[in-house]
Amino acid sequence: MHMRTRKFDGVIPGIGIAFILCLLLCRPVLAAPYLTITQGPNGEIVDTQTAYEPDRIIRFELNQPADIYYDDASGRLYVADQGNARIAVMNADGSWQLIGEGELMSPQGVYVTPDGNIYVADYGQKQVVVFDADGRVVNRFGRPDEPIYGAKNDFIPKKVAVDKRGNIYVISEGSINGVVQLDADGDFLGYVGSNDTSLSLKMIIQRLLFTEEQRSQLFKTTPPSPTSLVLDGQGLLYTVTEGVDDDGIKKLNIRGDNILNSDDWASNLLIDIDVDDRGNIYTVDAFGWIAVYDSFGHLLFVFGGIDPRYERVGFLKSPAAIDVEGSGEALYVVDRDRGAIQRYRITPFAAKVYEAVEGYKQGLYVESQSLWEDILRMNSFFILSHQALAKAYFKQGMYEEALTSFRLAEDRDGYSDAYWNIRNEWLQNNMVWLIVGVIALLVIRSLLRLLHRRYGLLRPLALLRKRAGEVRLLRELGFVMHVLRHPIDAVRELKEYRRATVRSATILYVWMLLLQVILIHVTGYLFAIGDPDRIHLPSLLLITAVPLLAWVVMNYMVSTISDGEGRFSEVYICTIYALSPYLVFALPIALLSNVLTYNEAFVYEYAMFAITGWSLLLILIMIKELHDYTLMQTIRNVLLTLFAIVLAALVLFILALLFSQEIEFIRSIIQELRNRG
Amino acid sequence: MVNAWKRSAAIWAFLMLLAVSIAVLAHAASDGAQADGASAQAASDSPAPDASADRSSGYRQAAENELLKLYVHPETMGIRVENKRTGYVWHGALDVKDERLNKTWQAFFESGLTIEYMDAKQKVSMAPVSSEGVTVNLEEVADGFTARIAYEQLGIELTLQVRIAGDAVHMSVPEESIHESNGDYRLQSLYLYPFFGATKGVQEEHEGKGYMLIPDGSGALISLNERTLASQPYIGKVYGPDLGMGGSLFSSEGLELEPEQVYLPAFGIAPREGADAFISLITGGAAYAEIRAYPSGVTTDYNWTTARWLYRENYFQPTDRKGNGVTLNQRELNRFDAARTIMLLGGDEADYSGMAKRLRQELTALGMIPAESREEADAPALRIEFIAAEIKRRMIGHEVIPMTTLAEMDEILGDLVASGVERMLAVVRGWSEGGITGSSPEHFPIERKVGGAGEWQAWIDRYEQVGIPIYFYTNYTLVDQSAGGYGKADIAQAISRQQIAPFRGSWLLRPDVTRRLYEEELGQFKRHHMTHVAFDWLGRLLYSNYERSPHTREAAIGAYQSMLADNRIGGYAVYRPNLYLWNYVDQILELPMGSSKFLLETEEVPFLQLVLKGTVNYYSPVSNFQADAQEARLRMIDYGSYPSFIITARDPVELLDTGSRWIYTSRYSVWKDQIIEEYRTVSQALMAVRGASFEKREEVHPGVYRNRYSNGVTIYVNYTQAEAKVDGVIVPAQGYLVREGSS
Repeated sequence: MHMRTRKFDGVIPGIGIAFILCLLLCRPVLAAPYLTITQGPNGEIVDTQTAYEPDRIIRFELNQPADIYYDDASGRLYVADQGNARIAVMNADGSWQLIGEGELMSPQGVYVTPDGNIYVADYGQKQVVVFDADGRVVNRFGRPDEPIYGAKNDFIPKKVAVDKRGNIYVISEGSINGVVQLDADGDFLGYVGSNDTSLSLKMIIQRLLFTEEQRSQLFKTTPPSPTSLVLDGQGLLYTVTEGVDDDGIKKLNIRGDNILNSDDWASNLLIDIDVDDRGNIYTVDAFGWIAVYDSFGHLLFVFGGIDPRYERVGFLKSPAAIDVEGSGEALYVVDRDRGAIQRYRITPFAAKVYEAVEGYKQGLYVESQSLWEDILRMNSFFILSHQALAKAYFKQGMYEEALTSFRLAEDRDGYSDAYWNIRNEWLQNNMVWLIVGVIALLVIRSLLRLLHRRYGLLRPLALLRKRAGEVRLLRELGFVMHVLRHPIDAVRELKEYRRATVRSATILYVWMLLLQVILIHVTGYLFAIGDPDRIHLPSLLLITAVPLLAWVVMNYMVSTISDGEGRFSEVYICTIYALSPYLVFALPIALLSNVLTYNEAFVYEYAMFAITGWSLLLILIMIKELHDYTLMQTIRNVLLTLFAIVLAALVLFILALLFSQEIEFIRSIIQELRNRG
Repeated sequence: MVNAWKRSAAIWAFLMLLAVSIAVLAHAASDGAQADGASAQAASDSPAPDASADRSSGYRQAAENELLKLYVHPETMGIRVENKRTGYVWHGALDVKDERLNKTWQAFFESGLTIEYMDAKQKVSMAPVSSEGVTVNLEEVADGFTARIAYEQLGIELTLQVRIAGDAVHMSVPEESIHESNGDYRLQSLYLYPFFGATKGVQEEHEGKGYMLIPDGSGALISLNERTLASQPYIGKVYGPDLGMGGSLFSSEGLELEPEQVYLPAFGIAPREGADAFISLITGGAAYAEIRAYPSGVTTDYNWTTARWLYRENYFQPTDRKGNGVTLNQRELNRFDAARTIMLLGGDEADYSGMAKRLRQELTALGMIPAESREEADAPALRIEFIAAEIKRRMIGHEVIPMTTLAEMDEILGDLVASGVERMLAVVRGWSEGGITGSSPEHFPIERKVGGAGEWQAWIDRYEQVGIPIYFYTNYTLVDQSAGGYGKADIAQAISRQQIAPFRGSWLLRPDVTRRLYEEELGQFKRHHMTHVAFDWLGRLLYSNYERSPHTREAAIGAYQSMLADNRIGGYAVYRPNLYLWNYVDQILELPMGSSKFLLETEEVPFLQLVLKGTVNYYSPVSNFQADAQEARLRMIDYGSYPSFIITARDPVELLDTGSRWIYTSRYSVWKDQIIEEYRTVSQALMAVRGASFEKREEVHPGVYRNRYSNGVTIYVNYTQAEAKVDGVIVPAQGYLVREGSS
């Protein structure tokens, strides 16, 4: 193979390269025309300062460039110039040289090793072509002939990466087994990082119901093949896969397991990935959004985009590849259709964030505290700084501060730990008083009893209690306690002696609704379902009221046609009385949850489970006794009621749909008449 | 029983069938309507007019004065203007046949005037004056010519007037001269001398530096020396989009920030910087004009920048709530005199600084900017914008959160004064009951959680005495759904008869209602000694209104101007005002510091600042959200713009779930040092040029600028990472240098 490298001075006719570079380099582009966002509290995305500014557009006679590699050591930029079937290299001084002219057909991927060897994924020739630093072809690797490669599997390289030992990782089009791994001599080593086929519930049901034939037609259950890859300094492999909702970004350990574990936002149309020398991850997707994650996969920034209505600097026409310089000082994104490379440069803000993230990664929580505090000053919503500071405070035993920060960072485990310490401290400090208090209470109690026995001290109280018993409504409400103690008798008494009325039941229904609102406010943070201010009150009430109402109505209807004895008012009354355990105990348990940590989570969970189970059991008993059913009849009644509820919901839904269309139609006629008239 | 069941089932089935068929029919009808709309939008090339050969010989002299000579071509209406001082001859039309142009573009470029019309099939075509079937009646007058132009086939007639005066060429088509007599052809738009100053291709370096200036945001240049990557022209609607013609205010997608708008309807071309240039101001019909710039490579090989006046526009008429509808063309013609003035510059004045200087003269002469500087020696040089209160949704109801109470504002201002920050102004935002989001557009009563109604008076007076004016933020344009008492008659209506809603759940008020509301509250402002008022939205949002009697954009301009002129109080500040309010304001807030960064723009320039400096005081957008504080500071010094900060006493974490969640850093304790720092650098550097205007701004080295001011002071700004040696002085890296006296 012979060498074909050419030096360029003036490429674009009439204009020297130096001139273009100066025009592009010297232009002060200060702020960006796009917003930069980051992860905020409550899973929300918030604005932040610009992380990267569009810096300059690198232009050359590129035709459909597909990939890019920035070599930190030499400052060279290698571009897979697919349309021109060559590799274009921009030297640090801005001059260009060409490699592989006549040797390549359709280069889609390029990778450069520290010793300057250039690996090219040639899609057209179905080969990985290796050039040395002078541009001579030193190797060509085609489809591996080992049988374990798979007889049906083709070898169509799209992207390539090489590790320190010279092993080659290739993304081959349509490869369902993942990334193809070759050794330095091109021998097949195996596949890594295959994707799973995800099965949705719908697909599982279809699978159960369909015939073999239908199944084979319907399901193409081959996993998607990865879209791009990169290796970091430690030899860990990262892949992105376009078109998957989960695990679009993977960071694979030696065993091939994904060690990235983050719930943060990731695009589902990822195109390319790169890693800087600190392990931060950079991706670009089909929307032109550039996302930066730390090495754990926490979202740091998202910015950029596809050309909106207007062509604006920093936006891309068709992003194809991303590469990062050093520790993220600059990003290069290939804009395929525009035949150009957009360079973005870091802002001092993002640089500070990276520095702080590095400290956090190394566990230097206390050391990086002042950096995080700075970042928090620049953005009060920056969630990672709350998290990092929480850990720093925790480490220094500043549990109160840690608690506040953990809460803002939504780190419940951290919050639990911090609270445990605070509670522990409190208990230690106040143990004596606690014991004294308990003893004092006991003493007072027995004292009172003694006094009462001797002098009738508590008689007024007993009187009051008796008086209350005489008030009918209070007696009816108090029947709740009786239900707890003697459920079977209680239902009979309800039915025969009318121990409760519609009036008292209605009060209990209202209490049930009120309880929902109260619970949301008083349940401890660790066990709460969410921030009260974010919960929509009407929907909360509806979610409780509608099923209860539906149950009462449908149960009455079903019971009527299946020889049940209960009347509507009885079903109405008994249903809420059956929920007595919940009505009585939910509030104390919620209050208790305030002093619990995750270590004692079982207390809360068992308690909640117990009162729910108890209530359900009471409902069963209630139905059985009320309608005078056998056990089998009771079960059938319950199932039928549930079925009727589902059916009613369906009918209502269809009716609503029909009516909304009708109304829309009439509205559009009126609008039309108004316009024409 | 069985029969009854059958009967009801049958009725149900029938009803269902009916519903389905109605739905299908309705859908089909709306599809048809949409197809009609699509055809209305389709614009295409006109029937090809004859292309002719070289027209250079057909010119004859029409007028001459001490500075200019005007020539006109009697057929094409093409003009040539000789600048007698430099000898340069400006071409107003293309005179030679260009083989690479198609017939339409050839005819367009060789004509001095072109209209666009819509035919009965709703097709839009161009009709250059040089095309067939146009009769021109040219009449020469002392200082120019008047041409009666009749498109006989189209039944459209109009009069073109071209006059020279001093160094300027005035061209216009008066409103009353336009006649349409054929209902099938409807006038759509007008171009006047679009080719004036156009150049061809990419200019070689040795031919000199050249550029086109567009008024995008603070201003931007399109280099003539560089082949653009862009494929779209620049189209900037003067004074922003007209929401009365439809469309929404914030239509950007994803993470895109809204593009800037045209605040100043002026543009220019410097074919050769330092030799010849022109600056053009749209003096008539600006509210209906758009500015278009085409660099070489976009559509044709020519670089040209011009104005296009819109007489009729298409708009979308929804027919149902799902968003289906038809595109219709405006029935009535917009009424205005289309006019533009071209001022020719030569020699040292032939650059964007020279353009700005000449424009400042012109605007002063037209009475659109104050003739004398409104900046006194002790005028404010820093803006503190307080967020007083904001409303937060709770699970049950709302809660007003005080972010900065009156006592805290007092403490903060006192602390700043004690730290040496003395020349400043404060804006209080969210002071009305309900805070920022809960209040508009009524501003009284005052939110009690911020401070007692009686406490404000003394506080305002105290700071007024030491020269710190307290402005009160208002928005008399937007009405939120939570604000009661606003009926259909108060809300502006678009041409499609829909109420104008820039966001979901909020509407725009009619300009006359805006004025009425403000005047009703004026007494309360005075009673509380609130003598300084800041208006947001009013200065940059201009919309026509079709509620009952149509209210044009021009009428809205009049309403806002008289509102400020007739009710003089202590001071008015307006956020991002368009040109028509510049003469009525004391402070311009948030003056843009950059452009939209369109791909075809090759350089951002402070054109607005170059015009405004020394007339009205202006402030930058707030510094809080800058990623690079040092660079932002340098740009302020470069642009002569005073710094601003948004400040709260409490941590803005409280604002997370509110309408003000864009404020993610604002706490005074966090920002105090930077405020002082920025005051000491920016405000102090600009002290030397207070009241002075820009003489010239030049890039002496890449990234190093020299700004000369009318009082002889020179400010050097160096954006680069290396120190720069200029005029025998050293400007530090990422630094600046103020030099008093002439160099």
